[in-house]
Amino acid sequence: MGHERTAAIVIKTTDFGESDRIVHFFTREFGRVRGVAKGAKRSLRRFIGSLEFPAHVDLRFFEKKTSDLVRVETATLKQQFAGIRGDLEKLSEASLLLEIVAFATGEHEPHRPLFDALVRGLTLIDGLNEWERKGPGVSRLLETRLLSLLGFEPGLAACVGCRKPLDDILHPVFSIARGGVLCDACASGERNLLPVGRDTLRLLAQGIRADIDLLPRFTWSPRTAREAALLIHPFAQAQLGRELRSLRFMEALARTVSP
Amino acid sequence: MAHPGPIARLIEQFQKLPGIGEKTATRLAYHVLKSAPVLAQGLAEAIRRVKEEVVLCRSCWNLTDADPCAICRDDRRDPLQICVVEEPPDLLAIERTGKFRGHFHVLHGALSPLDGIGPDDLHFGELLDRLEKLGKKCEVIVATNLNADGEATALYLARILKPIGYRVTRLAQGIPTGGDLEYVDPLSIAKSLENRREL
Repeated sequence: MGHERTAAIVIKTTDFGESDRIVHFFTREFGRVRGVAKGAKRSLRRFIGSLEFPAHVDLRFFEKKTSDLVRVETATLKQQFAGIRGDLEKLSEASLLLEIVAFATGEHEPHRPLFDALVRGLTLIDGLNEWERKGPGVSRLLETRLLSLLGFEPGLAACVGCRKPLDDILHPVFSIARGGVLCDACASGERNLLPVGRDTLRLLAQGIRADIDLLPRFTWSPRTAREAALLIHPFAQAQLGRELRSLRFMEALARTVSP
Repeated sequence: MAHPGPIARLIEQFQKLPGIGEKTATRLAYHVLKSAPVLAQGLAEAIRRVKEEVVLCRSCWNLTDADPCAICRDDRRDPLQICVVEEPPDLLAIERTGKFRGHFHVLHGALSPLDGIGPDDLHFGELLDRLEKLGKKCEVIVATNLNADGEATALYLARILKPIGYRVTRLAQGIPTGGDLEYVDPLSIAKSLENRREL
């Protein structure tokens, strides 16, 4: 309790009263934190641009024993992610990553590897060129990486039923309910199975362990990128036990416009 | 000791308003009680009328007590300039400048991936219908907020309108009046440099 300082990512900001804002952060040292930024709506000096999703800031706050909300003292911009804010697809993907993190972590439960992976992931998305070609694959790998760090790693390298290695499985299928790939024998009698190519599963499995900066080097075909989305998005929603709103947004966007 | 029934009910109703907690609600309720009857009657009447008389203009979707609204009825305004805003207070903020003589379109929100608010949840379809009737000479001025949701909405409008031939412009972004360069964020300074003008 008292004055604290940490790196943080702004998840969401809502207006509060005439001139204050309530800000949701994912911080490196304290996990999720909610705070009141007094006068943030009107100030021309404090908080300019630093309380906007998905800003990376150096946060100073004061915590009181009597309140769930901390008092935000300063939030100095470290990264503003102009590339994400200026691109609808990048913005949607950044929202999805933050939604996964926000939903799967608790307040005041720090997870430094997750925070570091999130910052590196956002930095990668922010500066990624050729989004149409590389973006979908990179996005699936980042989603899988974050889910894995949160304890929701899909079983990709071997059958989750009998541990038969992926290379020995004739027709691999993915089970959302079982959270991983199944061999022909273990798949019999199972429902809601997704046929998936071995190459898609290998890409995802390698991506979980690879250096985040190297993710754009992975080569995705339109089929493997599509299969990865069909697999990872329902898997994420099943594991988290809720619909991801960013996915709903992406689907609505895809219905109305083409990139 | 509990409040008498009618006061407790009024406190309960005030507490349903945004930003009003129990203490403020209690203070307001006792203020109403102590004031002249005309205040309570005026308040009740104003609340009743706002619910009964305020409707949405079926052209621009602004709040109005007459449909179409006064702005849409005004022949002196330029019908080929449509300023798109998120909410009615944003429209009023632009009207207060006295610099804009075109028409408006109120979306009643902004796209928000995190809240799952997509194109189907806002008045985009009505804007497209309106533009189709007005023709391709229209300029659409996007005046959504300069936060992530407002930017997403602006990007979306550009994405759907530019390919079909409409001119889409965005409110300039830069340093606010009274702003101090030292405290302005890098993105705003970068935009100010991009959009600089001759003196």
